[in-house]
Amino acid sequence: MDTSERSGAWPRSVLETIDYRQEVALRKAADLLGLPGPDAAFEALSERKKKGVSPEQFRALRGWQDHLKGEAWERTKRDLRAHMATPLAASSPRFEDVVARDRWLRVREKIIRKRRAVGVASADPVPYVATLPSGDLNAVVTRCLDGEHEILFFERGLSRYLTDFALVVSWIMPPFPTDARWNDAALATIRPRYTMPPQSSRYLLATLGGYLGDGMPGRHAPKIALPRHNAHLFVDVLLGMFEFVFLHEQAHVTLGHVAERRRGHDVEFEADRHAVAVMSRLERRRDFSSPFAFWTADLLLRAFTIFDTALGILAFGAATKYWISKTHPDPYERRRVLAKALPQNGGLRTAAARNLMDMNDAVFGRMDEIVLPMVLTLRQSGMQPSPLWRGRIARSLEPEEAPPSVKTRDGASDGRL
Amino acid sequence: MEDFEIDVTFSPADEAEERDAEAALKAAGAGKIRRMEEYGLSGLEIAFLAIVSVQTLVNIVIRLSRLWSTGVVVDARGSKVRTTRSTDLPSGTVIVIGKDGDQIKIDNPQEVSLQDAVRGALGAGGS
Repeated sequence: MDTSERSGAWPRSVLETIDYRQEVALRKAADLLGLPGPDAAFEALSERKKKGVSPEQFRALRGWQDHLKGEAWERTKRDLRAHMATPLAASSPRFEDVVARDRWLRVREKIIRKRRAVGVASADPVPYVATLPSGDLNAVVTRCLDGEHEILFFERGLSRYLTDFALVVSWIMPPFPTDARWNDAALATIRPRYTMPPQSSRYLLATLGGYLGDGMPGRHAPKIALPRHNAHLFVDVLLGMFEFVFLHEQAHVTLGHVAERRRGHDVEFEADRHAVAVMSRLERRRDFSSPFAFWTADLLLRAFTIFDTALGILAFGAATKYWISKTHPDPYERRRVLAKALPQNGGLRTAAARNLMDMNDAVFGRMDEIVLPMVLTLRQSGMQPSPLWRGRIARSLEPEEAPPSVKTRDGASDGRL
Repeated sequence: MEDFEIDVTFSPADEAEERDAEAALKAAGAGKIRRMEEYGLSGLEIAFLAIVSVQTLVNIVIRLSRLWSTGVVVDARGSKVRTTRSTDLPSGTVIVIGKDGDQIKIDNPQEVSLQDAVRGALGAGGS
């Protein structure tokens, strides 16, 4: 990755905008959580309670000891040390900032490299990336103070949640062949397992409980182990989900939604379709599997579905909940609409895509049966959603006892979760 | 007291409401106005950052209070004095939060009372 992006080479107005947005968001989070100020909120919403890491610790945490050496290592060390004076700045060396921002920057770089590799010139603006405790599960797009640059602010715990979710997926899926990424024939014949490894539901519950209850997944839970039988699948699923999130948010800029102030369900469906179309095109041109890319988009929406369903249970109990957001469709509906864009030509690609989707239905149907009652038990034992999610709950969910604002939609869903 | 930077953040119902808010800042005497916009789950949010004096901020708050027909919150705890509208407060009510977190609530503020509250919030001493 481009180390200059950690060295303060970003335009001054971008850094100023990021710093200020983080300050405001952390203060708001502090008010919601009853904490004294932004610093306390930062600590409360960090994966690890560390004020900072040394360059050597950072390299070890990333597992880069054998790769980052010589001049590149000396340059990286200088970059990291240069930022240690400003703890809340965008270029902060705190573990949370460095790692979370680095994850999204690497996703951005990977998409750019893929485009270059296949010669797909893109007019898409390349947004800057940062993190916020936004209380929104995905990201917000900010046009910065000079009016010339866009910044994507990803929800602070999102990358950790998706990482844990990808690990859970790797546990519950049958062993994938190592060439699955470019082998549609193999993808078309994989069969789901119908018994869940016991640790997978525990892992998912711990992640959900942390994110829903603390506003940050994994704070009080052990790290999820990497399944040996599907280590390659974990990497591929994680990158696929990250790319879909990134391309979806970028689509809001590319398709003019931000500039034209368009919002609503249709806008979100359009961004989903655009993101998965870009992913599929890039994979096909590299002779990789486009159904696999499609599958990871579906997995991402399932991660959101489980989150929102669990959030509704934690907030309102077992009663039926209605999805009432005027700006965003519920993730189940997004999956249903996205499925219409599945390859339909009847060939191997279609068979692979169908098989992967059927496998998701089977596996996650079983996972819902196991995990969601456990979430209800958490509520019955007194657990409540973190105040960070208060806005999302108010905007999106309504329990059955109140008259639902949105009772029906076109298609199969009637708005119930 | 020296001039300082404020942030006026709100979700405009339409472009006219955004223009009106910017015009209110200019008419009140705000300088070096910059604009930031955010597109998220709650829709479009606009922030105007500007350099002002205490008197200018008072003028801005009074103008915005009338323009928005909602309550207004002036929060001096951060690096910029953040002014937002609050639909939880009745129209004409202003809450001023000082650097130390203390809050003063003023109903239908007059220029003098608001100026005292803002000076107190900024720790700028008497009028």
